[in-house]
Order: sequence, then structure tokens, then C-alpha cells
Amino acid sequence: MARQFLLLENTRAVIQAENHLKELNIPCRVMPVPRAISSECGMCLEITPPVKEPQLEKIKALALPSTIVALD
Amino acid sequence: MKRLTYFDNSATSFPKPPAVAAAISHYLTEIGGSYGRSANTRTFTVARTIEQCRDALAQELGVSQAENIGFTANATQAANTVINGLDLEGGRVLISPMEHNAIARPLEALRLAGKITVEPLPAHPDGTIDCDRIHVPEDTRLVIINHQSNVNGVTQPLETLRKTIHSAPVMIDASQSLGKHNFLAEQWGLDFVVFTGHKGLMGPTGTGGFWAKNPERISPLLLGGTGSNSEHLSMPDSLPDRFEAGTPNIAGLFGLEAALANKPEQAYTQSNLHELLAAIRDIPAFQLYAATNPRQQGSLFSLTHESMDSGELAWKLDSLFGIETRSGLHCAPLAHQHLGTAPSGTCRISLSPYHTADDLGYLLEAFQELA
Repeated sequence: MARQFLLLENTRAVIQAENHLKELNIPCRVMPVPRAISSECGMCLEITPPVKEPQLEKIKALALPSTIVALD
Repeated sequence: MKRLTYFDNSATSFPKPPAVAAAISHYLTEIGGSYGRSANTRTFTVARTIEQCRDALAQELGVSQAENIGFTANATQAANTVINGLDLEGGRVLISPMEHNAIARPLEALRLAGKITVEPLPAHPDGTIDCDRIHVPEDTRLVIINHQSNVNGVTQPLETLRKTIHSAPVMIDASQSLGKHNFLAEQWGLDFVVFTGHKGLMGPTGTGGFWAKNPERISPLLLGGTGSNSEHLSMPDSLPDRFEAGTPNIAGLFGLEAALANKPEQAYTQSNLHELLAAIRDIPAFQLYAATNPRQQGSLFSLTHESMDSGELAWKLDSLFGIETRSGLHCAPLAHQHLGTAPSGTCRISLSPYHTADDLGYLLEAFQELA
């Protein structure tokens, strides 16, 4: 299955998103943003293992300034 | 217990809570790492602490959006960011009569460039703004109020003032008050607050910042790397990155976070302070400069001596009694003009929450001997 990343606009947003995912019991880890996604030099969250509905909907319901990206 | 004779806490507070030095040392010797520039474990640990600090400051300020707080090196840089970042051109700026040069000088530069006019708000002799006489002309772009004077400690009634000023944007200089007073920026309807970390908040020097209700109205003062949106040559719009170009004072922010989590209880009481002020008023050789209304008295005040200038008074307090104070104009010539103490200035006494009633008693004994 493709790897799944949550891209956020800055460091503070990554920390807030990690806290929210912990509350939802969705495992994740902090990663450098993969070069295949962006030349961004900051950090993102990898959701591991990747999630589907209904967890995906729960993440979207958080209304974070984020993008969920799948990468093979 | 050792007597605490440092009475210059309005310059910078001392001592700090022990956790402050421990946190700074912990960062420098064990944590390391940057903020937001990579995704390694150390950097993420740093980011967590800095964001905890930002969240704690939001609580201290009484605001809900912690990302609307931008860190700066001090309140001066914060004030310059807001004043120079707003579109004030062609308008009027109203200021309290007690402003510090951190406010007065950036405004004067804009005035000399022909961009703004600056006018003082009407005030009582102790510097309290006279709410009954406030008039806010239509072309007013900003009203700036020093919350607590760094000369006589008079504390402005912000909630009442905000209502009197109506819709004009209000910026508060909370350098002397934040950490000492219950601050409710959102409830009071404030627009901008600038603050420092090393005075009432008891953190290290080199820390400070500002909060903005509508940060999109401010252009950033500093431009540079943020670790975010790096492929673009313009600053990111996202907060707090928009206002935080360059690596922040990480060691300092570790210290500030520890200070906010370990605030000391005030050892002296307000009654102790009021009794001290009353006793000084009874010494004919001294003229006291303090708030007329005791409820508006902050933890600092000034005095002059009938025959000694303020520098000599400060020197004698230090050399004869080990009491450390600050003399002169305190970077606030406008306040001294209003109080009638310019250009010679005053000798300022500023308290620490660690001071005890005994420390204040020792201070009074020194004044009585110098009378």
C-alpha cells in the first residue's frame, strides 16, 4: 500500500496535528518532507500504517491546514 | 534568609525562578537542535518546547489563537514590527503620556518622515489617561497605551479605555505588566499587545514578542528563512512563520517556557507596598512619584530627594546599603515630562515577587537614613 503523509504549513501545525492524531489513536511519525512531494525543508507527519475511512474522515474533520498525500 | 537588595526589576527581573537556568542549561548541554529547519528528534523536541511556550503565553495574554503570537528579541523589536508593519501613513497616532522610547522613537521617525501625526491622550497628573476627555478623531489609525508605567508604576484601566476609544485599533505596551496582572487581551477588545519575556514574566533577556488580533494587517519587519515554504522567495502567510524569519533564541525560549511554568508566589503583600509608599510620603526630604489611586499602583515607583540628584541618590543606596536601583530618565522622557521630572529624572525602585516585607522594611530604613 502507498505511504501516506500529512503535509502541514509549518512546524507549529505539525505539532498540533501530531497531538490531534494521538488523541484519535492514529499512529504517526515526524518525517522530513519527502523530496518527491515538495522541495520544502521542514517536517511532515507520516501516518503509519496508512488509514482509510472512517479514520481518514476523522482527520479531515479536524480542519487542519493540511494536505493528505499518498506516495508509492 | 539572605536579604534581597536588587530593586531594579523593571530593567530586568532578578532572581529568576531556578527552573529558568536549568532549562537553558538543559537545552545547551543535552538537547541542542534547531527549530523548524529539519525533522530530526532534537529539532522536534525543540519545536515542542517552543510551541508549549507560545501556548503558555497565549494563556498569560488571555487569547485563544497562540499562533497569532510572534516571538521577537524584545518588546522594542515587537513594537517596531507592529508600528512599521501597519499602514499608518496619512493618519494620526494617539499615545498615552507615559510611553517608553521603544514606542516614541519609531513613531518619531514616521513623524519626521511626514507619514503620521502623533498626539498625546489627555491625562491626570500621575499619567492616568482621563477617560472623560478622550477624543478620537476620525483619521486615527492607532492608539498606543503603556499599560504600566516604567517610571511611577501607574497602571491604565484598559477595559474602560477600550470602550472609550470605540473602534480605533489599540496597541498595548505590556512590557512592565505582563506576568504581574491578570491580562485579558481578547475580553478587553485589544488589537495588538507587545511584551518582553525578561521582566514580569521572569524569563531570560533576549525574549519577547507580540500578539495581534488580525495579524494579516501587519507586514513583517524581518524577512528570511523560516523552514517553511522554502521554494518561495516571499515570506509565508502562515502563522507564526510570517513574523519569525531566522533561527529564534532557542535557549532563551526554553528559559521563558520554564519561567511561565514556575511562576513564584509574590512574597510581599499589596498592603506591605502601600504601607511603604505611605511611609515614604511622610519623609519630607523625598518626593514620591506613584499612582494617585492605590488600586492602579504597580510594583514600582520613583522618588526624588530635595538635595541629591537621582544619580547620587542611587549611588548612595548602592554604596551605603547595597540597594540597587535605576536613576535618570528610564528611556521614558515623555513620561518624565508629564510628571515634571525631566530632564533630571528620578530614582526608581522596582520590586520582585521574591521581595519580602523585611526587604521593604530595609529599603525604608535606608530612605530614613538618607533623609
